[in-house]
Amino acid sequence: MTYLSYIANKLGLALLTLFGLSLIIFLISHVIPGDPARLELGPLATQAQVLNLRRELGLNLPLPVQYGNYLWGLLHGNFGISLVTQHNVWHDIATRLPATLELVLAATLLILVIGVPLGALAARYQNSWIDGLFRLLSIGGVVTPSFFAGILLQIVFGYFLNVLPVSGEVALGVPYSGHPTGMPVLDGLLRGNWPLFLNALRHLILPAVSLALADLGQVARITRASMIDVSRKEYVRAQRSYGLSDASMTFKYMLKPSFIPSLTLLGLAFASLLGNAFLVELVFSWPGIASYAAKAILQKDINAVMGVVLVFGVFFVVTNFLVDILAGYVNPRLRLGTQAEG
Amino acid sequence: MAEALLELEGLRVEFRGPRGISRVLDGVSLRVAAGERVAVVGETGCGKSLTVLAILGLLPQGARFRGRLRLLGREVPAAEWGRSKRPLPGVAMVFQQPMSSLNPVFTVGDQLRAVARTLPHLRALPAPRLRARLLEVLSAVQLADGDRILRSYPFQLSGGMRQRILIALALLKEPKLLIADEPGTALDVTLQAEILGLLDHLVRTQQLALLHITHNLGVARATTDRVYVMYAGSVVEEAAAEQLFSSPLHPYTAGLMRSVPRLDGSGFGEGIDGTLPSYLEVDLGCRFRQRCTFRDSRCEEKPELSSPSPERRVACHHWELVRAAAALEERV
Repeated sequence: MTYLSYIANKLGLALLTLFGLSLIIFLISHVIPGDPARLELGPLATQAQVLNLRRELGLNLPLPVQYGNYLWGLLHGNFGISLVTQHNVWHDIATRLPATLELVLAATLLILVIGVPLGALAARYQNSWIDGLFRLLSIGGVVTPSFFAGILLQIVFGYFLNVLPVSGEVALGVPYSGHPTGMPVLDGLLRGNWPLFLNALRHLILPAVSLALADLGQVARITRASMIDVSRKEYVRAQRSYGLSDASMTFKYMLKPSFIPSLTLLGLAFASLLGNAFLVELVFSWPGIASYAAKAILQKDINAVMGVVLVFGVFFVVTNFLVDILAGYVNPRLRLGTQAEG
Repeated sequence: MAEALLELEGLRVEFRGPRGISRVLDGVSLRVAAGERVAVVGETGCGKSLTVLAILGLLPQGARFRGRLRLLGREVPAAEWGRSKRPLPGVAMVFQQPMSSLNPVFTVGDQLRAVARTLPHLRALPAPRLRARLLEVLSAVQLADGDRILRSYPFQLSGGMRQRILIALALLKEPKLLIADEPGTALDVTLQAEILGLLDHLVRTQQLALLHITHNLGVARATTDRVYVMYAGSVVEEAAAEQLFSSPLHPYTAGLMRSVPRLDGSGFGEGIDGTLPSYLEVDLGCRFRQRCTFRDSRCEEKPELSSPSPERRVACHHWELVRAAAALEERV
């Protein structure tokens, strides 16, 4: 098996998962009690009006046909009309999703760039004061709810030190058109618009840190544990005895085999990142998808809820697909197929 | 006798534990001449592997050690062996677990190059010449198709091939002394014989000395010139291989030889009653006396190494008796 066929295999599985996801979302939305047409029209509408709307929305057709229509619509970017905003749901999501994506991607980057090396360092200086401090901080990170961490950071960096902005994505005085990606940090970087980039980056720091904290602690702890595990392996003793330097042992020959469990955890952490992003967005008045989704759920805006859940599901499946590809890179046995071990 | 390559004198290693100090090595002295093949034999736990770890600078952090090491006539300061974590120049180790001594997520080529980069004579080589050198080393350990092997991950290779790669990793250093701790014991007997044959071939063709750590007496006899027998942290007997096997002078050596299972079907061998003594006990006498049939009151005092003949040494008060008993057994 080559790496390419490994990727093709994982891609097939991801597509299958997406198909299953759409089916489940469709079915769940149809077993929730309450008639969307009745909800839309209010208690004073006549039965005839309700029936009329049901026909308009296609709710009177048999379920398989409805599912077919739903799937066909999805493929054309048609998620239906939001019963609350009266906009196309896809349009509603598309305008708000980039902000959430930016936040989640920044948090992931922090987890990878800070969490993994931190775990490696703690393992390298196992049982020293560095390790002790690390364990205290990582436990602190894991047990602090992200919205609480957000409020604390706002108080310290916004109120007392007054060095970082505490709400919004870009300051009002900085012109921003939302093109091309809708993520101001990325757009600033892509178009060489440095004032925009710096301003957006400063806005991003606190929410990204509060969102990353819990999973950062967890990933760092897993990395530390698995580094310590690997450090006792025969091959590490052997490689050390050949005279390989401490740095190349720690950050190359031990980190790569130790990275596999951290990577798996990172894939799973995505689910909790998306969930926590809701709260962090509220704390930092982040113009993401959180308030839209929360409103949709409370008002039984069924098309909007289905759209949001589907987008998050796609997001989750795609990340796990990427994690699988990375895992194949890190662990050659996965991508080259296993042979019998003697 | 040829020039001494490696001389270890009076190595003591102690561990401080919750139940006191245990002296695990008590005055081990070894000598390997240039081009000589030397075996250290003894049962599991006798300290033979620990001796090697000390020479390689790989003693565990908690260990305390004392003794002198001379390499090519030069005294090695204590900071450069024992716990130094730095390999000695001219000495290379062949690891014994082909299944677990190679990093599973890097290619063989990457691992060979990583070692090459630590070596002064290979560090500066441009990539194509380094590659040629790697292929040369692979063919020296009789691995054909070196190109494919450099690109392979360990799990794609057989146990025998991996053991050969472990030997190649040691050879990269162009050592004067190769230390092999139970090479091939993780492989089946035919493969083991191949690996031992390869080591023997390398020793002859590349003028290497070999320090061979083994619990297999047959292997020691077949592949070495001189043998040290270790028991409970000390060398109890030292002799040329032929002499040792034809007339053992230490009761422990004699017992070991009677313990080997016989291929002629006459049984499992006799074994030696009892087990290794605890390293925690402070013992001023001979450490073997509890298991020894020759024991008497003199054994309460630790026997010094004595020389029955110029090339032999034995640490037993009763070696003459042991020799006489063996001769008697032969006649019966």
